Amino acid sequence: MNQKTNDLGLGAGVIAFGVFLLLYAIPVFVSAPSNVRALVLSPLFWPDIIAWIIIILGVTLIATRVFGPPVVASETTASAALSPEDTPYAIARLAAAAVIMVGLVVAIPVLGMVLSTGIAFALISMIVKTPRPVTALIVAILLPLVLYAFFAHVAGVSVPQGRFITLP
Amino acid sequence: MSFFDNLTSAFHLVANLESFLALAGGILIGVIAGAIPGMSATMAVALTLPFTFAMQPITGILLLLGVYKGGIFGGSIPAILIKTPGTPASSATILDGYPMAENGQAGKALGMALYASCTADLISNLSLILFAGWLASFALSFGPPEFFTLILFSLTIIAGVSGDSLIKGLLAAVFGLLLATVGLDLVYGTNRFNFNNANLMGGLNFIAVLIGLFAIPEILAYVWRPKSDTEQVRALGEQHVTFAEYRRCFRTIIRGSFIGVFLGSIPGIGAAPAAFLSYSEARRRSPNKKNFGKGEIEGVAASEAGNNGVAGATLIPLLALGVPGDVITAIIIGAFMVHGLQPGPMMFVANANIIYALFLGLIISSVLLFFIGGFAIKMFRYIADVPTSVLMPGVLILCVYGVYAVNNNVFDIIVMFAMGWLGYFMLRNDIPAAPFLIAFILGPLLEDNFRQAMLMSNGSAHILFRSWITWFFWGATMLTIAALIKTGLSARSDAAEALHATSRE
Repeated sequence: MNQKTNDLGLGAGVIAFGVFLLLYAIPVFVSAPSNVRALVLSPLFWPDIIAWIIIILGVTLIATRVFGPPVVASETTASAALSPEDTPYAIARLAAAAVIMVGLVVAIPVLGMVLSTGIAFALISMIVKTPRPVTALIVAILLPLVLYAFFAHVAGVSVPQGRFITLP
Repeated sequence: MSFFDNLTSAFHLVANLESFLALAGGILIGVIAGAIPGMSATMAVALTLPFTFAMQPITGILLLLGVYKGGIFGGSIPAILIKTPGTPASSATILDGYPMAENGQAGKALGMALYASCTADLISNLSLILFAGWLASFALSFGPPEFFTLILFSLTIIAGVSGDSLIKGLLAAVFGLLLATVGLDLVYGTNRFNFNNANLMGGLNFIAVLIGLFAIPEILAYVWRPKSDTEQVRALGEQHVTFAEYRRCFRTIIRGSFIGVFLGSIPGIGAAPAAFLSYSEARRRSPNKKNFGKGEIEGVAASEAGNNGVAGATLIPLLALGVPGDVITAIIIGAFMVHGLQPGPMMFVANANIIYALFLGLIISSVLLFFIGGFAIKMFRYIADVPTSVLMPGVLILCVYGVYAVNNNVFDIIVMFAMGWLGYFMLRNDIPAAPFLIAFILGPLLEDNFRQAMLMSNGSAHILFRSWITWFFWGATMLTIAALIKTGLSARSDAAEALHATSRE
């Protein structure tokens, strides 16, 4: 997908989101008292203005890509481009990272912060195929413990312990 | 309190081992983080923020300022030794720094980078001390309409210059404003996008949003395309910078420092443009202009003076007006807020001792940077050995602990991950994250001042044009938009011509 198609899709998505805000999200999720003395003071005013600006910017983005000169992808976007053979693996790695993040949030109350972050560290190292597995394993054990020691004993944070291991 | 009372109180705040260690430790962390490709000064400041919660306000803020200053200098080390800027601000340093390293003069280039950085840092700090108080006393006369127009101007310029596209910058800023509306309404206390969830009543946690936006996308980008752990590091060589060379470059360093101070005091411009402008001015005026790009020491001095000249000056709008000039100062404003301080003109009245303590600390930081920077140059080989495949999962763990520590709440970790994926989407679509974060921070202030102005005028918009200050900011906003559109159009025409030329070949 080239930069122009990408930006056209982005513009369409932005317009759709702006319309969704105006027609559904703001009326349903923003409440305003009935005794507001001026429209500009209403809690609805600011979100409404933002939604309209979003729609205008979406239209402008599409218009500039359709009628303006061609655009070139930035260095960041260009450097993220992969060959067709590598792309499925990259997508799988990203999906795995998403699963690890969800799993981490779920695991913290059960396994505790130290154990769940240590496992998350090891899993992330595995999906990027670290060339230094021994170093990664040592850091996966030590880093959560050091951070636990700092936050629990120096900063006085109540770090979740989990149901299985209780650290001093 | 009188000036001398404040100064004495400030001296007591800074002249202790804790503050000194925080400043030195911050600079060391910043230099190391800046020197590691893949880390950035912004990420380092964001990750250090949670560690400041347990500290005294001044100690915590000095630690963050140390990380900021160290990070900006640290970026020059890999720029010179491995042709990879540690921070975007060091991009201009590559132009002459790396050719010098190739010629066996890496030690000389790094020495000049350090001297230029420390000189520029000192000039920038002195400018801050000179101008911030003056600007704050002027800003004391600002009312809600003046603050509204000032914030609008700041957001416009930040959105315009942060990325390649004005529209995408504005989009980022508007989405930041939208996210800032989550929580209870500022005037009526009614629900806004909080879905009756108690975690959202007070709005989204600022630290979760900023760490999510600036650290998690880097991890995801690494997961998408893991890079090699090994880089070709150049040897320092036997040659060191001499006093005669420093004296020859002195005028360039001073000019670059003032370019940095000027651009740094304008919200949104940042260190990278200052470095490039300083470099191009040095090349234009130098008798050795033909040598620029081939290993000219004056080029290294110019770019490093430009980017370090920004460091103190970005604190001018932060301290005097309460408006962060870039992402790092936006994070530092978070540290102020965590400790119950609100930067702005009133802080010069209510907490003047803290302001003076910061000024004293900043002056000390320039001296510490000289020694710690010199040490880091010699240690770079070990710093560069930190493998990215171990660093990135480590950053993830730091983020989780840091964000949890804010409120002892797992919900903040969820917000951080959500923001991380949003930030990654923005990264892949060339949407800059800086306007998003700054708009998120300034959003409540913008809305609050707007509604206060409307309350004062019974809903009449005339109040937004009541003084020459509001007219000035309206005019500056319009001029900024016009200039950005003109620059954007000509840049795109140039890019299109280059594209056609390439396709013809």
